[in-house]
Amino acid sequence: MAIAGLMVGAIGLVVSAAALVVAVWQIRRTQSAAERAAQAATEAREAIHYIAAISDLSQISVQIELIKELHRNEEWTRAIDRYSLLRRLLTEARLRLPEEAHTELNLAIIRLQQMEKDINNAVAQNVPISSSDLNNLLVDLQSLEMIRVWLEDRLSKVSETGEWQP
Amino acid sequence: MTIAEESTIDGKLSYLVTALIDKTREGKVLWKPTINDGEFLAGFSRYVVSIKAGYDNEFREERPFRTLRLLDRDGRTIDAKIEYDTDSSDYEDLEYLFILARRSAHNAEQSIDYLLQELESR
Repeated sequence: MAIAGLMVGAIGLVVSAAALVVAVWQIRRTQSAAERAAQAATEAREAIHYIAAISDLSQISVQIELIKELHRNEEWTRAIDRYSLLRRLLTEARLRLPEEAHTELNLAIIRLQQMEKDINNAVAQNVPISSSDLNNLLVDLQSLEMIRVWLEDRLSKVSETGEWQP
Repeated sequence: MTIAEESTIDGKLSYLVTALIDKTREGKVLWKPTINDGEFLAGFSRYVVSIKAGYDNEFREERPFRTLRLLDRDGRTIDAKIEYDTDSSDYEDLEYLFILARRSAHNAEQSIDYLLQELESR
């Protein structure tokens, strides 16, 4: 009787342990499904941000071209107006992009600030401005295109695989 | 000396200059030209650093200076190190960083290689 009792106890213990393992597995499965759903939602939000950033970067390229044209025509007052718009677009793009893309945007914003200030001073003091020097700096800013290309590449991978790979 | 051993902000700024010199020499920090010939910028994810060489006319005689400025990402100056004493080691460090920054911003090495190639072919 004692042996039978011990066996029943042992079997009960094994069943309890098995039930515990199943319960833990089910909890983990539920958690990982919830985590996957949360991750998918985060990735979708990021992708939407990046699509908006691509649009910003396209507009930035257009504005740079417009400003170059205004420089060539020495339309300084109109150029200054465009500088503000361009800096605003860069700031908005920065909000949408991950930190590794910020370096180029930070530099662009500060270089534009300096150029705008320089044009303002030159106009106020009626001194000549070199449009070619300014345009050379703007050509350099067109390296921001690389960020757009990088984002488009990432987004095309999302559409191929259904997974966002930042 | 490591950054962990620096306790004062001036000490940390000096260390920043040394670190920028090292990383620029290694090609890990790239500098960009600005509209001013005597100023170059290096970008980081949260900050921008400016190195500037200029002359101060405040005392009726031109005094050279070298400045390192730490800017936030919207261009506001957070801190700066200005050196007027041309004999000081701090001035020498800033001058060296300025030279390295100018080389980096204008791809000087590439230009020199190109010139040497052209000279060899003559």
